[in-house]
Amino acid sequence: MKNYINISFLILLMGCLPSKEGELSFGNNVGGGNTNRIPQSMEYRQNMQFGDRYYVTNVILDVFSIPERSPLGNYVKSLLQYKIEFGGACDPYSISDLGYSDYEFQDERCWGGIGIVQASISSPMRYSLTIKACEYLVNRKDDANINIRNKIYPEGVWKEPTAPDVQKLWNLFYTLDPIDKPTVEALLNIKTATTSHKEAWDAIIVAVCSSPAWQVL
Amino acid sequence: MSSNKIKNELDRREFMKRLLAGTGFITKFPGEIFLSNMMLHYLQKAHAQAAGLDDGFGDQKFINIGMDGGLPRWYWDGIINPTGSEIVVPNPMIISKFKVSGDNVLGEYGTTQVGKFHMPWVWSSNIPTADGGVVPMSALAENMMILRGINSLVDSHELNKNRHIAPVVGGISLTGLVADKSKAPVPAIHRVNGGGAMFGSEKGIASVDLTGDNPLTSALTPFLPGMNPIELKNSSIENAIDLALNRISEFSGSKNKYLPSTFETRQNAKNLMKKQFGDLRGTYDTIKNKYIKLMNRSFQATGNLSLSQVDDVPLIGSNSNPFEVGEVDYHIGDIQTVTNFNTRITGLAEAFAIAEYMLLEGLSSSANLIIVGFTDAFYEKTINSVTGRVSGPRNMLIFPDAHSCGSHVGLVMFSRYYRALSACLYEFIQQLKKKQTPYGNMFNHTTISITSEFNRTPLNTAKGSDHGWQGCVYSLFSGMVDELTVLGNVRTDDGGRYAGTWGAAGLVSELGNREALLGNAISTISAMTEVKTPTPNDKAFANKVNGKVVPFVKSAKNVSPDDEAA
Repeated sequence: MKNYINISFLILLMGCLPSKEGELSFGNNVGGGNTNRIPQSMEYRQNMQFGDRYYVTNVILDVFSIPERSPLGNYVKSLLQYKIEFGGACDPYSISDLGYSDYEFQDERCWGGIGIVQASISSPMRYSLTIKACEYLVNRKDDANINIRNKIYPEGVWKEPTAPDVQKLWNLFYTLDPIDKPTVEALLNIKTATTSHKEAWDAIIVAVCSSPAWQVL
Repeated sequence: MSSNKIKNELDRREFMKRLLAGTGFITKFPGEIFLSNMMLHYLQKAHAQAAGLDDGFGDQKFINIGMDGGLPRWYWDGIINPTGSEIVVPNPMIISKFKVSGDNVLGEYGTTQVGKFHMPWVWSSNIPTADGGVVPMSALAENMMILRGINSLVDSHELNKNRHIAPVVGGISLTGLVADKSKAPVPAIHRVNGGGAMFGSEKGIASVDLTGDNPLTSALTPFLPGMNPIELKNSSIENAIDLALNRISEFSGSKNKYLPSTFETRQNAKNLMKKQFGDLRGTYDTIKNKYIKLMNRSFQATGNLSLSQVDDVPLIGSNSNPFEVGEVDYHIGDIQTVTNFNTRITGLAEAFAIAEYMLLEGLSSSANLIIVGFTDAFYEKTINSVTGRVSGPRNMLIFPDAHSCGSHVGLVMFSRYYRALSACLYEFIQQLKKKQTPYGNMFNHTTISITSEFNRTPLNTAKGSDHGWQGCVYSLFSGMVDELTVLGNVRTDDGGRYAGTWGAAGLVSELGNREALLGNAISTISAMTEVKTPTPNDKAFANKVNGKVVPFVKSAKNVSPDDEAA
């Protein structure tokens, strides 16, 4: 049995080893694209249009039921809306090309010193700011955390997460994309790493809130 | 992580869990969670390493240092006579050292042998090192490849600043292509001192702007975790959230094949949030001060850092062309005082400090860093040739767009500029060489390019020079280059007001009997950094075979405009 475990473990880990790259040659025999194909950049951008700073901020304010003009609302805006990384024009009604160019508003200067405003694209900064905003709100004892709890549990008490409960949370962020069973199970699995219902929900909410896909239009 | 890889990973984990459960290694007790997660964590880490997600060290790196202003290159890498036996038509601006003849100080073009090539005289000097010592400047040339005689076809500061790395205006850039293949969490950075954006990625990656006096903090503050991080509370919760996100990524990928890449980027963000950065401001200042000291010593140019027959020649200016410093102004004081210990190249120390930190920490893969002119440069005394008014002394910013910079003033100023640049470059390269990664020495998969909008066309009056867009130069530094290499043909003489050999593009037979263009240089960098070239119709000067650069264009000749290509 011991040998069986050892061999199985070795086989598994061998599958994880990096494949050895063959020797490669780069230069004059490389290049020359197929000009009939849509360039990858355009194809990528046609399918990956990110919500701008207003969109991301408004979704989070809405999910956590935070009034936009409250002190907490202003603070959330400072975490997200006033950050250049999320992109978008200073005027929310400006027409955007939704990410076809990287610096479509480069002459604009917004509040808080935002300069060379850019288009909305995927970046680690965007996601780290989202993670921090989600964690900040989940950690708040008196308002944001309670607000989202009451949307899942109208009776006002955190309970052990179940599949229908996770679906409710999911639908707050992914309003048009119903969740599937394996994803529900993966989110429920988070509770096995926690020691209380609230702790489980804190982690599940952060996972969903900080997942990037809901930011894509 | 591709959806197939995620699926395999989840399957492996599930199998692992069941395997462990089946053997009785894990039973139904509270420790099950810990042990299960411990095994899963190791499996995840091994997979992450296999997928290259674990760090940003292994990919190709590309750093462009853009010298703003269109600098005259004949002092440094605009090689006029590479073999020592080429035809050279003299021009009074193309000088590299002084020759004292009675009461006169004349300029002449002298060279020094470095490797197989005859390099401009400045390469005979020493440059300062970070430990307070000196090293021959020729040591920098060990891994240097010069591409000369490149016609950019356009005369424009702004356009050419962009086109040297993004040949199609508004299109993809070399920095973007390298960033697209990067595993680093902040793939692309720039500090362009108000210049153009010149960044284009196919994946929609953003280049982070590191302008300001605290750029590392600006870049990395978003990654400092919050006060009560939930995701990073403990490894069990972190692993559980990671697994859930992997599943969401797979689910999203079934709807849009590009979505999983956003989850990869999110993972990079989280990994950065776990990293302990320490005192970023202090770290940045320490590294920056190191490069400032190298500049200080270079510009002081005394003792064993003095360039013989340039810095040690007493040189008092006069109301004549070699000493022109403005349209009607002439330097009539001591030319040797034009720079001093406090003189700096604006943005140079900052550029190298940012590049050193972000690369050595595995945080970035591509950088576009623009340096500007001289600050704290000094005209001791000038005279206005129209009014006769004598001014000075004046501390000033000198912009290298040297239309009105006479031959003798230019030699002193720019020979020190290039020594300061060389000293900082040498130190940066030593840091890269010291950095061992799982993929070898970091310098071996880094390409540094030194560019400027254009070279300069020297006036045959010795008063200054104009935009030499017909003869650009790229200098590339990389561990992939085994020895000093000079490629590309230049014309011996264009005649007219710019008569002489200065570096205008000559015909090259390997490129189809035409002049080299920016695209040829860009294709070369693409080959070195293993990305597709934005200019597929332009062959590279050199290919990369088994990790080493192999020249395709073999010639470095001076060709007469009337001759056929060499």
